Amino acid sequence: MLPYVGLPARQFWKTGVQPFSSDTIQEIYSPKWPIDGLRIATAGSCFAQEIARAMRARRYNVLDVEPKPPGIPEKIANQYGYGLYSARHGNIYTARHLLQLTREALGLLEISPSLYVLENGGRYYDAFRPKVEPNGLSSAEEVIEQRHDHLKRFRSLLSECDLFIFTLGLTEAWFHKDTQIVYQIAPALTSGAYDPNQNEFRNLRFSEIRSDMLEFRDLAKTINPGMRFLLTVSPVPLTATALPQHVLVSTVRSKSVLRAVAGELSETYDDIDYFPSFELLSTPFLGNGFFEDNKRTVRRSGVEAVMRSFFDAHAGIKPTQVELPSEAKTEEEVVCEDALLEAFAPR
Amino acid sequence: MIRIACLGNSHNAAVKLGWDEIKGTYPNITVDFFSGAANSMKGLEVKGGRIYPTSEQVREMFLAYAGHDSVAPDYDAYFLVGMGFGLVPLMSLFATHRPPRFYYREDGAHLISESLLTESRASLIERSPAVNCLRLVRTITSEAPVLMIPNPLPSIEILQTPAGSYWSGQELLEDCTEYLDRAIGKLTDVIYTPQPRGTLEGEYFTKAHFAKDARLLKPRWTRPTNEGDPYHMNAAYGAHVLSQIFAHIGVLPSQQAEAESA
Repeated sequence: MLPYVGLPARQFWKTGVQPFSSDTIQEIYSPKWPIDGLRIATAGSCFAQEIARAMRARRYNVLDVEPKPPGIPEKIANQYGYGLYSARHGNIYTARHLLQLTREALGLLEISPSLYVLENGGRYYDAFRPKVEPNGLSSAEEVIEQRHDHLKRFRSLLSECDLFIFTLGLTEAWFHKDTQIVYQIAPALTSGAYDPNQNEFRNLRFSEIRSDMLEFRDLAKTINPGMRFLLTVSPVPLTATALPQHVLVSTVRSKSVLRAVAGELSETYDDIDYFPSFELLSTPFLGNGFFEDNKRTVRRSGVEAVMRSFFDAHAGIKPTQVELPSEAKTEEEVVCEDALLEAFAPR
Repeated sequence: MIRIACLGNSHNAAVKLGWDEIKGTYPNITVDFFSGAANSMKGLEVKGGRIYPTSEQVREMFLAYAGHDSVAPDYDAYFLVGMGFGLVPLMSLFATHRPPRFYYREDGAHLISESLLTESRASLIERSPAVNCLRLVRTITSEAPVLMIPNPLPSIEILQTPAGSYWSGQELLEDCTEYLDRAIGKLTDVIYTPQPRGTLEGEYFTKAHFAKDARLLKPRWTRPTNEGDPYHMNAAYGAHVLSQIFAHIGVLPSQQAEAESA
């Protein structure tokens, strides 16, 4: 008898994919473990903001170790980096950045302020999260003090959370040449000056990203042995590539590598799971109606379809009926630093 | 007969209960209390020249305590009670978040920039439900006097609680007071009436006995505040507040009025 006989419908293209779209597909995700009651941390590229928001709307225990000041409206708080993730680190696009932040928070890496304090127009910014202070700070010392405060909070997040959800976003990254410190985005986008003698571009490889994620896992477990991890890959394409090739080629390379790393890790380790948000939105098989006309921004309906799959899987079979808050965020309200690159595209 | 609309949040309870105690001495005054919990009085709107709640919960409270589902434009005076205007919200911000000049690594507060502090304070004070209500009242009437009564200062006993220890920070108190004074200076078309002197313990606190047996208003019932709540005051406090306001607008209690006319 053929080994395929008797397999569930989802395992065959004809019955698993052909009749469905992204918002009707069934059983695309089988969670490794339940997440109810877990203290959850979220981080990653800007698509991860959607995950955090949807989980908070459904009353999951998403930690917030850097809460917004009382009374301030959510929109303004978001502009200052509050409420987007469990800590105020802004978007973390690469595994290397997550690892670097973790090493800093655990006191294993000390970065000279000269490598991250940026001055622009008399105001000072943290190169690792330049958007969290939209008006900058008044002195380099204040940037350093804020970073110290942030690292302390991030360390507490690592020790408190039961589940760390991370959305892998990019493989392309900018480094400080001599120290190999990685920046959140291209340095010129924040300081207004790019120095080819100091900075370099690299496209991280499968082995590097896998190694970075494993080192992050190992470090996190040194202070929180019970921590588990849930990986996703952002479906949002690159705004621009620094490689001398077509941006679509770079996008597919980047996402393929990240998807492969996530698969490798979740298939190897019991404490790492993978949720296929990427498959739901970024393959042509389930329809292409979930991107805006720019073919990059995921529509609200797409986000909801993805998150519904996630929550349905965790709820068992019955769909959850929880409504997302009515004030759906526009593209502008999801804070994406890499969208800045679009400003440099030819007109 | 002088008709007054008294709009407020939980702090309206003290004024309402105080009014119940003294209204016998003001036979020529009626007061309608329009209340909503916490910041819900931010959710009001003007329709057809009247102020309506936008939530069913607040509408219920309007009906329960004022007997009307909206605030009419023909009252002789409007009182705005609490609703987030005062020193307490500004100080509460410092309980959890501090700008560099007040930040110490050891005390656990989150470090925020001066820029975010400014945004936060504006959200708390300039965009408070009290200021919003003032704008709405001025939309429906330009004639009647509007009197603003701030959130009461906390009971002096707050200093005995670990969570309230930051209230002993003189620099914090002075900084918040300066900000509040500037905000008061920017108010227009309103008579700002500070907390009655007779209720104060020093400059920044309320005498402890005014926080005993305080009540919170809820639709159709009245319940005690949480044990040890230093922020809500009782009927005696409300009576002080009303007496001061009535004197401010030239209304005297009946016995005093009779004595003066004699």
